[in-house]
Amino acid sequence: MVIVKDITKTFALSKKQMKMNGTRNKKKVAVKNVSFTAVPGEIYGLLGPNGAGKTTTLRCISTLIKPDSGSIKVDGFDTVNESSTVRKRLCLLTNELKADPNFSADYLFAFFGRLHGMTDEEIEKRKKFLFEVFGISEFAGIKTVDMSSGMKQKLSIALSLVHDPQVVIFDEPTNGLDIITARVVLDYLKRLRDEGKTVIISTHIMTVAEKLCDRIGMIMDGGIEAEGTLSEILEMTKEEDLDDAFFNIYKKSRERLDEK
Amino acid sequence: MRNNIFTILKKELRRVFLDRKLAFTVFIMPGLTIAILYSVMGGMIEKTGDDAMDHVALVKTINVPSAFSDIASELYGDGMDVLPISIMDTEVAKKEVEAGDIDVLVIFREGSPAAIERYTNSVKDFSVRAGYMIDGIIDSMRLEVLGEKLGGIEETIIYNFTQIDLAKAEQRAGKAIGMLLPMLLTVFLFAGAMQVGMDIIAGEKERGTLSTMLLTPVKRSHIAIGKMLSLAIISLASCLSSLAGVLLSLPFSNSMFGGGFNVSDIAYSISDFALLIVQMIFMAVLFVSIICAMSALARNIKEAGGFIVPAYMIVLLMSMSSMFVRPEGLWGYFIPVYGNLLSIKDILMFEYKVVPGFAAIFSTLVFAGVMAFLMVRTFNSERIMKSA
Ligand SMILES: Nc1ncnc2c1ncn2[C@@H]1O[C@H](COP(=O)(O)OP(=O)(O)O)[C@@H](O)[C@H]1O
Ligand SMILES: [Mg+2]
Repeated sequence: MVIVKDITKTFALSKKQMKMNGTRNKKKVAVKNVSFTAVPGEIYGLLGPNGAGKTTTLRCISTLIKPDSGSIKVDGFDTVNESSTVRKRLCLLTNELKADPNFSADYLFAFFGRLHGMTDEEIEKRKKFLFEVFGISEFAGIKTVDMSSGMKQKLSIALSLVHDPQVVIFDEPTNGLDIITARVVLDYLKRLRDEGKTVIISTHIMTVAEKLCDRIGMIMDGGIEAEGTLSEILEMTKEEDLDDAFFNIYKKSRERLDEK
Repeated sequence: MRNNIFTILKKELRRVFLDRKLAFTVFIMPGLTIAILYSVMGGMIEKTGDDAMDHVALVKTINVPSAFSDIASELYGDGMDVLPISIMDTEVAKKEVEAGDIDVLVIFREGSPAAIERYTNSVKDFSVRAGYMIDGIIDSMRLEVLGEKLGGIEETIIYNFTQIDLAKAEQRAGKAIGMLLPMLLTVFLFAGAMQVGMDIIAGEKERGTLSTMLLTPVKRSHIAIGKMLSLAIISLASCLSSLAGVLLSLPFSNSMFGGGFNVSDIAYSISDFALLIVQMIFMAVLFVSIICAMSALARNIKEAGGFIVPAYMIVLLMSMSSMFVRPEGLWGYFIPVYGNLLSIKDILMFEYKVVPGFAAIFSTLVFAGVMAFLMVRTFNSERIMKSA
């Protein structure tokens, strides 16, 4: 279970970033007062446009960065004060994570297993299972540098899952994946949910949210604007599909911003 | 948790040892380069010496007394060709000296006292050498004239002058080695550590593999320490390789050190070698800490290079100045890097003392500690590790 409580994260911008964002503000509030709860056995989706604060939120949950205020509990452990324990229980997947090109899949799997405190037997067992799921077994002995890009992606996902985490976080799960890999990954996320894991994803693609997520939090400009199951959201907005519902909410939040 | 440091250490070492190209540049190349460099340079210097011996000094003279040629053949035999010419040819002969066609032109002019002019070309080695030969002849001529005036050549002997060098052969050998070796060790130690260090820290950031490690339960400080330790081991190995290169090349290169010693004169004891290795370990730790701290700050390998190369320049300057200057007193030993270099030099020259040695180690540890602290701070900094 993941409980995000009222977190805010502000970045200090460098001169270059200020130029890129076209702003004269030295600070960017990437996430403000975000709260939500994701429970075991569900896939929770953060749906929002680019720059809404999805990645920042997920990085806070996975302890890579610390929120300025608010708190996050993963299975009851605080992400700031008990970050090591939190990392034992969760994994963060993104398409930016890479497998070290200088090593083989076998070696990397054992390496990360050990860093997670697993015994050699546990590692071996887990490896057999995950390499089977992602079809890596055949290529386990060759250096990552010699693998196809689809294979590399599957390997880095398998490596992140080495410790069988209770909480699985995936930032933009289909981004940059080839279509076959994307399908394998989405199927596996559903399987994790069915096993009772807590799964949190972010996406800007309506159909992914629609098909995959049990509950959706719509995040815009750093804040969650609406939350619920697909049918709850459609009911709330009186729209026919998620696309329209999203724009409905988006417009309202714009209007509120413009009034200010 | 110490287990984790070890796991990371093993991975980094494996990375370097299994990468044949990297392993070659780090472990084989330093030794090989030094061995080849020393041997080739030694051989060249020896050959230059031989050439000088074979060379017949070409001297043209104008108006010189007959005694000049007599003494020349007495002192140098076939080593010098003396060719009297007419005063009309003065300008031509000067041009020849300038061009290196002949080595010296000597002109006598009558008068009281008589004048002697000696023309040489200081950029031509043969000319310089022939010039000294001429000086010897003129000295002898002076003594002869003096002897005639005083009533016998014996009368010109005022002192029996003997020069005795009390330096032991091993000390001379030590001085020769202590001159160059600290600098070479510095160059290779730093260069090796730099190449690997940038790759395993800034390179991992650039490739996006560092963040996968940050997502494990391992503390960031332990990741930093694991990387640092592995780099220290790697750079020490490359340093031992350079040392081996120097020792292997000594038989061919002793003339490079002025030819003042035989290889058999090198008489370092086991404890000298132990001290040397201890000092080298501390120097490796020092370099590694500098390189790690700067690599951690950088976003990619290119940026890391931009941070580290200036530090490399400073280290090179220090090592060069330690070749020539030696500060009075203890303070020099407290300067990081410089103090290490002085200590290594002391060991090689059989002049090692405990207090300065420890001063160097102390300052190294303090400085490396500060650098390591900075590196760990950097690893813990969100701002700097955000790209991970
Ligand atoms: N390290 C950072 N430094 C400065 N600004 C950042 C940083 N990370 C994110 N931001 C800014 O915060 C906002 C939210 O970013 P992000 O969480 O990546 O959005 P999303 O993942 O929803 O596209 C963006 O405006 C982005 O420019
Ligand atoms: Mg994002």
